[in-house]
Amino acid sequence: MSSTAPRPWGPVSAPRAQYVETDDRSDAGLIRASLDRPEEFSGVFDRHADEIHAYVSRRLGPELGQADDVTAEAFLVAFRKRHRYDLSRPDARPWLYGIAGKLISGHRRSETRRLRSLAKAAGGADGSGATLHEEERSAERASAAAMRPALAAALARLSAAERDLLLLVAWADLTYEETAEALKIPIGTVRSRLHRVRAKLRRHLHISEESPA
Amino acid sequence: MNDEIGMIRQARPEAAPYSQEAKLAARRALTGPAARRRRPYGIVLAGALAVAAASVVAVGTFVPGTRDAGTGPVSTASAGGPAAVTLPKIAKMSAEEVLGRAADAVTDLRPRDDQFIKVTSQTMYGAFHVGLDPRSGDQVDENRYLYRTKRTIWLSADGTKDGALKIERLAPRAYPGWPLPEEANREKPGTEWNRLPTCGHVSETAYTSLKKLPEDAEGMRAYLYSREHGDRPADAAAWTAVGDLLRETYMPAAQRAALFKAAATIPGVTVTEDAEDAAGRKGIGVGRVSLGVREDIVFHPETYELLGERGIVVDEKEAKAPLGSLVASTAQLTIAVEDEAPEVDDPHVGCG
Repeated sequence: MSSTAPRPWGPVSAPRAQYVETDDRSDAGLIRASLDRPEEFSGVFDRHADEIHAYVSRRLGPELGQADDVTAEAFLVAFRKRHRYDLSRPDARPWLYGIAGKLISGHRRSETRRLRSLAKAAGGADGSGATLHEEERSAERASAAAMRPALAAALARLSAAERDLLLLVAWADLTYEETAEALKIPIGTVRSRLHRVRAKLRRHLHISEESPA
Repeated sequence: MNDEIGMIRQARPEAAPYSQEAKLAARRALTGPAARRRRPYGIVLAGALAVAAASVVAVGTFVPGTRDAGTGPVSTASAGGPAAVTLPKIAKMSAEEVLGRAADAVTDLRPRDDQFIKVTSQTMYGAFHVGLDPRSGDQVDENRYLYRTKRTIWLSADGTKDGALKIERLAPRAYPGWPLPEEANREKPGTEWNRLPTCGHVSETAYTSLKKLPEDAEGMRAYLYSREHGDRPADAAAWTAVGDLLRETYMPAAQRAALFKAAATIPGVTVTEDAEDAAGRKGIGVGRVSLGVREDIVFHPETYELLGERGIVVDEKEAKAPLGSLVASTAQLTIAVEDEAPEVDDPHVGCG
């Protein structure tokens, strides 16, 4: 009846059902069940939406509901691709992060714009920036407090793929294995790329180390 | 300074809050475009549920009787444990009689296709929070309370125009047998407006869609049983379907009569005479037990018009609440036909 229930009163269910529902089924278990019963996929959403949203919002900033849109899109993409999920992987987070990361890359411009303005936020106006609207500016200020401008500048200078890798490790706290899974690359590649990214960061940070934090 | 990754980690910005509206819209979108568009107002009741802390997963708000609706978590429970209905006051009238009278009492509003059905109601439902550790899947927290609202909904008769929904939040109450959790206090009384977009899809509960349902009891019964019910017993799901068709809708006279007659044929349906709706109106309850709760539809004792719904615990263990306690209660206060729905500026709603 999932297609016909009017269910005007919300995501509804008999109360007791959920206690059974909240069993220890793995994400893979939910995804497998969702092949027959698509609504099962909302269980995957319930488990991980907050985490994915937090990650996306860290990367794209709080403005314009972009994190909301990207998160929604990421789960939709995941839902559509669930047939291809590797059911031998109990934890769907790397997969979801991988999808979210690709979508974030599609917003590269806003991400780098954000990072650049974060970089400027404490260093004063450098004159070259476009005028930010007042609400943008205050949003930037709010988030700037959390990130040192020099770091933001260094992040902005990485390629999208490099940022993806670095931030999965540093901000999403994925292990190297999980990162490899998310990016669909061998773990050895994760290590070597991370090594390069660190070297790059080091260079950039040296240059901008003087700017006041 | 020698660990660049550590520095980046330390510089991790604050995450932006995930608004419930956005989150629920995203969740709703998952059950497919059809489901999303047909149930644009699924968001709203859910708005009443406080989402659990970030580290845990809020499972949701659950309404007895509509369990297997699209986006709700789906049970793997062996749902059909026969719960003995031993409460007093099982009426002399049979379900067939009550429902037969309800079928006879049917009046008809006959809205035009371009008009709106406006329904006002008062509701009380359980909000259930179960925290899950995202890694282990272990349950880490659990609480319940009853949240209450007054709702006014405008739905386009032919399903082609955006609807509107006004929700006034009322003070929450403790769930029988459970302490009032902190989450309940986050339910600040207030009013919210929601736009209910059609996104080009005509809802299956739009008046004109309902009009296409069978006009005879047999056909309607077949329809009730044809709805997907997962692993729930077919009879339980059929009873759920009855409530779903009546809630915040306007069933055309012929279909409503057929529905009540068909409902009377569902095994396990019982009558309780001293039923009361959320507005305190006394009536006759016709209900069926599911998962320890008898889900009554309450009818006016003389006119046999629909008053509301309620959930009464009949199995303490299954329901995890005291025997006889009221765990859900609604009242359908008015139904009217209007030419227009209020326009609501609702940035959270889109067609995805």
